[in-house]
Amino acid sequence: MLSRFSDVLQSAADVLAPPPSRLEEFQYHWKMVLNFYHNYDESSKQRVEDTRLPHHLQHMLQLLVDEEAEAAAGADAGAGALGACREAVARRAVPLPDALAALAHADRPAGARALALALLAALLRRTRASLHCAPVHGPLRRVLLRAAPPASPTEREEAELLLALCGRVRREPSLAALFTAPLPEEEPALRLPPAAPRRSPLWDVPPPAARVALAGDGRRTPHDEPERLLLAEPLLRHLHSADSRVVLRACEALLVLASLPAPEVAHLLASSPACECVAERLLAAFRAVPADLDPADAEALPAGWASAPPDEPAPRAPGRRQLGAFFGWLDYCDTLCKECHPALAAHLARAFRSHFLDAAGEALSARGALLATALLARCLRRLDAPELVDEFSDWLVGDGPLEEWPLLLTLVDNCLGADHDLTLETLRFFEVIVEKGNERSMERLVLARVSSRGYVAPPAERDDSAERDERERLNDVSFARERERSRDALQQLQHERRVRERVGELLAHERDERAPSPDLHDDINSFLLLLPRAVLSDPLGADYAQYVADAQRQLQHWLDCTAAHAWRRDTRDADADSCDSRAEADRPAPAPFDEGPFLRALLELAARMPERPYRVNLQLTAVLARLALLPHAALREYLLRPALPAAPATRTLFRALSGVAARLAVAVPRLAQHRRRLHRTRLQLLSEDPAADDAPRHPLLETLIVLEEFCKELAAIAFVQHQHERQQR
Amino acid sequence: MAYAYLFKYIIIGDTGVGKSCLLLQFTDKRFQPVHDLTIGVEFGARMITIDGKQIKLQIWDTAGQEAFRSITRSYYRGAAGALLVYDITRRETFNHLTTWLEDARQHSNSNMVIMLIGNKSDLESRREVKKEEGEAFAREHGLVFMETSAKTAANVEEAFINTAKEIYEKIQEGVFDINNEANGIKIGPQHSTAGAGGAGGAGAGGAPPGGCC
Ligand SMILES: Nc1nc2c(ncn2[C@@H]2O[C@H](COP(=O)(O)OP(=O)(O)OP(=O)(O)O)[C@@H](O)[C@H]2O)c(=O)[nH]1
Ligand SMILES: [Mg+2]
Repeated sequence: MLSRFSDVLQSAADVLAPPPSRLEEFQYHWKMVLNFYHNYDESSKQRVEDTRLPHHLQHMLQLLVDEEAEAAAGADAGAGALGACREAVARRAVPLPDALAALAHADRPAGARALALALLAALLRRTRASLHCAPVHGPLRRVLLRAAPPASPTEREEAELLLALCGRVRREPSLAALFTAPLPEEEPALRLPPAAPRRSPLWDVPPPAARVALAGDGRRTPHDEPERLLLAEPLLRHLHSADSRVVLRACEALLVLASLPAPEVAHLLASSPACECVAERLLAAFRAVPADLDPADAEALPAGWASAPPDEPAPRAPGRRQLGAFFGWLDYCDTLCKECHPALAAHLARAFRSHFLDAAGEALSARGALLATALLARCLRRLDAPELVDEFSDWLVGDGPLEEWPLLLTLVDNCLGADHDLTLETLRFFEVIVEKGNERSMERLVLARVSSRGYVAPPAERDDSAERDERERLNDVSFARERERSRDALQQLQHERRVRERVGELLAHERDERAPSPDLHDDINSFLLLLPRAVLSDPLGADYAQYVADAQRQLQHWLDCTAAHAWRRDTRDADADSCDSRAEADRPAPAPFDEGPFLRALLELAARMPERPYRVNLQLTAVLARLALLPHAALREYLLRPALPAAPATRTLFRALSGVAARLAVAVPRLAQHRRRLHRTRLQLLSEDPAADDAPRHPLLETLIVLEEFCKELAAIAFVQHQHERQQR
Repeated sequence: MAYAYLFKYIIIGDTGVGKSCLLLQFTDKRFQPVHDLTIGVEFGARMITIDGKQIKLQIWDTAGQEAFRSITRSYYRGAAGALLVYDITRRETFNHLTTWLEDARQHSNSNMVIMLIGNKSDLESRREVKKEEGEAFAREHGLVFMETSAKTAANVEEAFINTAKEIYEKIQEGVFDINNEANGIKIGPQHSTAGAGGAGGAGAGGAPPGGCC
């Protein structure tokens, strides 16, 4: 009843007195804040939520927001003028930001820090007025300089404030200079309101502005401490927080800052440990993946850095959380690199190498090599930022002589070692390396090795008839004597004729005024006739057309992604050279051909196919096929031209495969019921449904089928490459 | 809480069109008169029911400010639905729709359902974009269209729920690969635990029968 009565009185008073102006209201709330601290009892256990403080401070914020909204609505009239409340803040008549900064520091009453930080952040997000005003940015600086230690209870509020501040700087880049230390210009000292009681937490704090002014004294000389970005320090601390929401905010804030087009900010960030910090987080996440994790689990993770809400419970499957975190950080690096200023991107790429790759690479020669290989391969596959892909590729091939680059040697060792799983993962890595390699890595790994064409037999040593015999022999590995005895002999002859005819038909289809080179005919035949008919599982070569279509598509892909590579402009015509091999008679004798560690490892594996499991061989042929599809004249010649006489003692793909074919041609017919089993193995391996028939298979038969299919694929690639080269001419 | 499916949404559009307000209205049934600029992403979640099934909507509210596009782009991936919002009282927010659409199509998966929303329908007196224009744009680009008011809550429920219905229908048609989380759809625990060995098939699992694709 009584309160009803006082309400009535109040409304009567409202009618009589003119309503208070916005400024008066603003000043009223400020006075209430001052009063609160005037009467504040230091020993009080009261929390800020139980006081009127939030009410008054929030009102002040709302008044500033309203004032701005009103000004914006009438913007056409008097634009640019500060409202009365804002003016009071700017003149420090009502030092609201100072008060908030002081509260954030003193945290009295308990909880005041969180309140003050939240209000500062809201002030930044809800108002537009410039921060180029010392009474506003000064207190914000102080908050940054006095950031709380890690894992403080107000970490979330700090992170929100930082994001809001970075957002402001992003929209108004000239602000960045205000948030550097030492300060570019002296900050006016905090003017204490005369009525301020001595023991109020608001005024107790020595104004740090004075400290800053002492240290920097306004003018900096080149000998002074280097300029640093105040925003960066707390932000980087938050990247290490245990609270995923804090980490997310820090990631966003860093991304916002890094995407500023202003080079000054990019350089400030580059001279802060920001990039190193991100790379370290990536490394920590890499190391946290449990070593017993199955590499296959790394496949279908939707791991964007921002793909899960921060408060979502982690997946329960073992290792998935760590795996997700690793790919999340990887994606963040990638995103940061794509979105940031180019100067910073270059710096990030270097940090990625020095702080992540170098350390992660050590795991390749340790016990966890299998997982490390799988993770690094997926890492390279997922990367999209050109700077990072470049850095990764450069790291893989090193700088000095390739034969001495430990990392590559480790990979080659792993690839040739006895652990088939490790061989397989390493081959998968190789496939990505070939697919995503940059110009330099491809050059060093492969192209530089073959461009001298040292694999071609010097004319003097060439004995054409011997070579041809060799080829004949290889094309028909069942050997003449055996053949004569065999019932298969006639069939083999028919088969060869049929293959030749089909190749002839295929080539005739090319509408070209010039006849296809007879060498091409030979090359394709060499591959298609590498295995004798007697051991073929698919003598008709039914899917040859499919291989041609695939090869065409993949070649086009290579053409697109290597279009800018320097070697593509080198239009030297290997084909023309080699057609008339005598044209190079006066070339100086080249050094013995060295295919380099990378190609050597692949060819060695190819030669040892019968000793490796199916999955390894299949992956090996995938890598080799990808290389053979590169539109590089010499590489194509080296891998795809069996008809070209190769220098003695030179490893070539065709020689390696011929050796395997010879072994299989002898060993396979010795297996009991080999034709039936071969047929069944083929069905098992090429069937879409892996569970259709899981009867045990003989490894030799599996190898045979890989080789048989690979030969078709190589023949198709040789054909497609030839087609392409003719179109070029 | 158990759900049959989880759908991820994003809300995109120019700054100030009312994206955060739409989310707040949908999740908390409140209206916020102040424009609290979004910089990073804000999350919201709510359970709805479609076809007798509990569906959890996980909504990502993004920043409209051009300056924060570097962050916004990161959130496109892995969304099954998008609310593309403009402000019917500000023509320029309508004019920017094409850019938003291009951005969305470039960074998101191709099956994403996009709902076009003309917001602030309560401000009829200040209308600058006719309803027919919104409809025409939606027709032209194959979007669903609706006018809403985050202030009065008009059509807000419908906007979120109709988007979910579209996604649900696409799932029934087998357009979405629901086993790939990157498409913004997750099968709820009551489904996946039913499939032994975590094979995660499309079976109806523990839910009422008949929901199989
Ligand atoms: N009258 C009216 N005002 C609205 C409506 N929706 C939002 N607003 C107002 O529009 C302003 C901006 O709303 P927000 O939701 O913060 O805008 P946003 O799209 O999230 O903007 P950004 O976060 O900057 O991208 C606020 O002042 C809201 O009160 C509505 O339906 N009707
Ligand atoms: Mg918003």
